[in-house]
Amino acid sequence: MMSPRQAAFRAAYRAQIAPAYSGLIHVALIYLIGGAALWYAAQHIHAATLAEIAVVPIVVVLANMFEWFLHAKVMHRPIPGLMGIYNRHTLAHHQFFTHEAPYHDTTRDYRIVFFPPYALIAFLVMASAGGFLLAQLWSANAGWFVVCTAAGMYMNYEFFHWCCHVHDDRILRHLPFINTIRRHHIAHHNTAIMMNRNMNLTYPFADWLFGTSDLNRGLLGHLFNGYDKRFIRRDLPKMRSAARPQAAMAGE
Amino acid sequence: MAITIRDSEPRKRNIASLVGGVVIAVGCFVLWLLVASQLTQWPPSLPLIVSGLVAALAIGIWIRLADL
Repeated sequence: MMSPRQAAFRAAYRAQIAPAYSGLIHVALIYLIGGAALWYAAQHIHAATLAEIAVVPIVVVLANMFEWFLHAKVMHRPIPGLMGIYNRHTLAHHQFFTHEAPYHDTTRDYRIVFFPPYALIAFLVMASAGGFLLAQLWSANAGWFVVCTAAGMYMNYEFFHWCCHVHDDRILRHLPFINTIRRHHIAHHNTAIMMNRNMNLTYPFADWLFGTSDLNRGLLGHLFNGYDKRFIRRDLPKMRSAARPQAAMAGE
Repeated sequence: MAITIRDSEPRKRNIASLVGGVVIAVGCFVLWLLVASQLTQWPPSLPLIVSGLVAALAIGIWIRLADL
């Protein structure tokens, strides 16, 4: 159920979206750039050893922690010089999507679902710098694996986040990891817990590690929780109205 | 938490979309050159370079017009 306040915010936000904006072009750009970077880096990997391949899971974990850090410490904190990120995320994204009405209606709403494409460029530059350093210190294959994995994780992030804000969950609710992050993220959109709980957007590993999840269970339970609400912590701040993010997810 | 509904005055483009447009254009052009060189040779042919420049400019301009 959408509050009049949220409906008013949505109407005002949509009125501000430029006529030239296209959600499909926005998404296509992200996946063309990310896909091209991943493909280009993959072309340079030859006869990789097991140690070099092990860079992939390490980067996945580091990217997961970086995602947590960026969300918890930048996107939800009014830091001078980075106020644009705070405004766009905490003040806009979280008013456009609440735990009671977390879904987008049209592709023009992608404007507030996906990051601007230059965020991907910035992320790729950072990953490339890290990859270059690793290549100089150890192995070129390892360096290219860093770039491949970082590009893949970024696209993973955007896809999972989109899945969290899609209305129809007839298929998504049955997909491992996606159903987990969908419940996890929609719960995060409750204003009572949004500043310090459920900061992961891909796999809730860092939330489990740093104790910022709304669940009280182990790592595997976190990763494969799905829509299960039996393990939601009892010491969370009171939710403002409906204490049932799953109700919204099920379209009740 | 304070609500920040924007009023309905004529919209002004954000400076971020100008910077972002430039960053995206440069990034896309570099990526285009890298991919083209991987598919053909280094340096890519002049038509490939020019088409990359056109595509990168178009994307950068779209970012600005879309105020993204």
